Amino acid sequence: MVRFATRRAVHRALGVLGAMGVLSLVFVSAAGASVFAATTTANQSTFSSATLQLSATTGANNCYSTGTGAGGAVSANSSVCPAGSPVPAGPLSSNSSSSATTTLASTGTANASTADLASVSCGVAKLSDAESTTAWSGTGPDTALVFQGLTYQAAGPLGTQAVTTDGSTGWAETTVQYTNPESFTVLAWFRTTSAKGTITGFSNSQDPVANTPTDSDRALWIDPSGKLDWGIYYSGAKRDELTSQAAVDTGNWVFAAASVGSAGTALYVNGSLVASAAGVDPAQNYSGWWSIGYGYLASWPDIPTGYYFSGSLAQIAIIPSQLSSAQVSSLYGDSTLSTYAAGVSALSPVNYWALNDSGSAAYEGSVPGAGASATLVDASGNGNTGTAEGGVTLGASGPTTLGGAAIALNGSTGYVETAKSYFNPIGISEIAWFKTTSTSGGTVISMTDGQTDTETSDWDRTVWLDNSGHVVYEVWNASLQEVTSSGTYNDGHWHLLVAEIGSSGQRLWVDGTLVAQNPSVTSLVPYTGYWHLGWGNEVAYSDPPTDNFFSGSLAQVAIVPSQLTTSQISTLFNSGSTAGFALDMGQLSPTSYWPLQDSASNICGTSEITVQQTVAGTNTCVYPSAAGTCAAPSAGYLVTGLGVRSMTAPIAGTPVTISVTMKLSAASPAGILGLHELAYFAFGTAKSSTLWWAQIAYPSAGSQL
Amino acid sequence: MSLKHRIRKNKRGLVASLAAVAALGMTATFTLGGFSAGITNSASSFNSATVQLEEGNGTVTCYSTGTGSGGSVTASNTNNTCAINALVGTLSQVPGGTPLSTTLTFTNAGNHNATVASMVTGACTQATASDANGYVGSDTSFCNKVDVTIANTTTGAADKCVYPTTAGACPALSNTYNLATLAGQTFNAVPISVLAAGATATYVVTDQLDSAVTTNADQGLAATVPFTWSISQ
Repeated sequence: MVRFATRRAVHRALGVLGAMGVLSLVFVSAAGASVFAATTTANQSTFSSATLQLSATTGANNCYSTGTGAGGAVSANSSVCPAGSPVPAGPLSSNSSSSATTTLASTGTANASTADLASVSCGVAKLSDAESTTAWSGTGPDTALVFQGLTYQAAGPLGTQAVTTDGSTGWAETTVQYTNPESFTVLAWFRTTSAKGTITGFSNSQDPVANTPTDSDRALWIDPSGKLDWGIYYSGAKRDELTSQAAVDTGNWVFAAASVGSAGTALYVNGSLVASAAGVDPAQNYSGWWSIGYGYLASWPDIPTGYYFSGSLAQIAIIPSQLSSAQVSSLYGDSTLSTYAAGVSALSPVNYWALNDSGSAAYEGSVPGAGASATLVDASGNGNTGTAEGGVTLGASGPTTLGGAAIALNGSTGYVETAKSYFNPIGISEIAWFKTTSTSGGTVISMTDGQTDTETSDWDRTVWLDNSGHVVYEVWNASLQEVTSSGTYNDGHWHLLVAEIGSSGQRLWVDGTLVAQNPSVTSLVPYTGYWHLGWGNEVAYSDPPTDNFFSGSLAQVAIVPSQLTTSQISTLFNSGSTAGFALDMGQLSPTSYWPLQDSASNICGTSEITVQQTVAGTNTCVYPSAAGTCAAPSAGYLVTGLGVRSMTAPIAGTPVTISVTMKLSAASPAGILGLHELAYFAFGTAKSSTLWWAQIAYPSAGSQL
Repeated sequence: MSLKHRIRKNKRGLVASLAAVAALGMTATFTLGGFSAGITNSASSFNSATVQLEEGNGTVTCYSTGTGSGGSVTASNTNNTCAINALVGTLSQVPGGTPLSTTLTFTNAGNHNATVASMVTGACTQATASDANGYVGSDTSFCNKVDVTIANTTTGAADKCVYPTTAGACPALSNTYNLATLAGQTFNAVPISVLAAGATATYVVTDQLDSAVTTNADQGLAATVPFTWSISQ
């Protein structure tokens, strides 16, 4: 009876708990073996993501957006292609055009919805000078510009790279003029098998190839017997020429040191003194430029059979003192680049061309013979060109995460005015990278009804830093509307600001984070105005800066005709290169886009270009935009005007072939012929959300002018 | 009646019985005729009920027996290898793409009402997807990037949303609720339907690669969460 009563109680309990889900399960589970149960497990429930991938083929060179070949890990999905070029190698001609072809293909499982190509930066390749001194009345680093048959990153001494010159066209012109270098030592590593050519020279002609100098000496060359010569023209119109006893054209790396000064002249080969002369002081007094791989040497006793050096050059330095034998021997004993570089640096060099350059870095300064330029390209293709006014310096260093260039503004006169006016732009985003340490504020972007920095009666859409470094965004909707960041950003670091006004309200973002907003401000008092960079009218504002002008650097400024989403802003902020930022910006269809990568010389404004796409046998001209096949290149369409252009996205099974055709303008100055033009071509695809993209950039690709 | 009297009476009965047996023996031996009646309860048996679960997505049907409709029932009555993909995802999902949804239909194919039902989600595991070109994203938190909701769409079911809320309609997909937050949970209360014999319940699992937090590093990845559905007597 006791057992029966217990069973009956349990049965009643089950009935009560049956309607109490959780407790029932607990109970049943505890007595699981005594109940009937049925279970199915869908253990193949899997969610899988697609892949958005891009490949580019130029000739025999294949590049992939992953940067790792077909397949592999996907992270940034934005790669730099080290080989191949979507632009013709040149030399470009003014008589005929030349072309290059790149085939783009989708290699992932998802098809892109948009694609664009970009060339928002253009300059000429340079060889960097690591030093920046004012010795002998020089100014700044003595950057060298590359001509014709000079190539990069051959195997060098000390485990580093070297440049190679072809012995017939390749050399480098320097950009800083010096007054009478005296008492110095030239250091150079070289390797050659040719008994000819000048390693370094000095003359009063910046371009001794095009313009024969009247003064030239301080030259280190290989004479017709293969020996190393050091020539100094000194007081009394005398020539002093030192010659090594042994030939140096052995194909081995040779370390040369040559000096002149109160101790006379001295020539060292591989750390040992091989020739010297007393009384050769001072050297001839004239102003001139160094040259690398070429030197004019007419009338010298053992002039080379050709002025162009044939071989490899590395680690050239100019030391403003005569080194002792012990010092030279010590440098020769350095077996690694780091110890050698430290040894050179300890000697306070005036110049140090490591010559391990990749050939992808552009010179943004004034190119000899190319004329000055203050034009700032609008890469949106809408022609809202900027003009640098007052204290604006082109070619400053760009944002840390992007690289590239920027403009530097002096905080008192420098700003950028723009070409076109716009009526009541609303539903917009103002975008800029900025860097400043100013404690008196300054304007980043503004709109006023005047084109210059004066005489305005309407102004708003202004973004500035106040004196404390807060970012402030002001608009006018019949009353003053300002939103201000709580944080300060005048810390000397690069920051990305996005200021938006439209139906989503007045919003301000810094470095991808929403820092201030007023959702109630969605419309503005309409007027027609111009955009300004680096200046604004802050009269009547509640938190105006002391300085209307910006003091610092600006880069990648744009006006986008939409209010950006969090993910779109994040994409821009996380772009890892100038090419990537340009391609991401292209997805946003900006009305104006000033990358601010411009050269102080109109170096790329003489290269005519067309870009054509071919999809399934159908040709369309991408630049200039036109149906069908592109017409021949013309003066109206230059590399500087290409910017970011939409193109058809390659999809699975349907690649897109891009043909770039270039021609040198008839108006090109002779001084630029032979320089290595860098057009920074890049291709990108994206899904409509822009969260996924695939990009391939060609920073080293260029055309010889 | 005294004890002595009862013994005497029994002795008389024994004699009579022996006589009757002898008479019957003589009848069998000599085929003497007579009437008789008997009943055999050959259908007498004790039958157990059945609690069986059938799961389908319109293409694949699974049974808790693991052997198809009907068939042998083991002690566990558990099918751990149901080939239904509740998350649908094929190698085509991109950020913010069209949300995927799967309708799962559950039937108590047995003859006994269930009193308990549950859905249990296992751990979310990440793996590489089978892109033919072998592209694999480097993100290690892919489970967090797949937004998910689960709704009970059975006619008449109370409180439709199973996940993320357990009452009312499910919210729109958002990254607040994803496969990582779904994983490792037990749902055994309303709105999980407790199936009577022959009754059917439907659930819709909706998922999407999130449109805000996904990056390029989320390409070519797979996230797997086992779904275990149970009913009990």
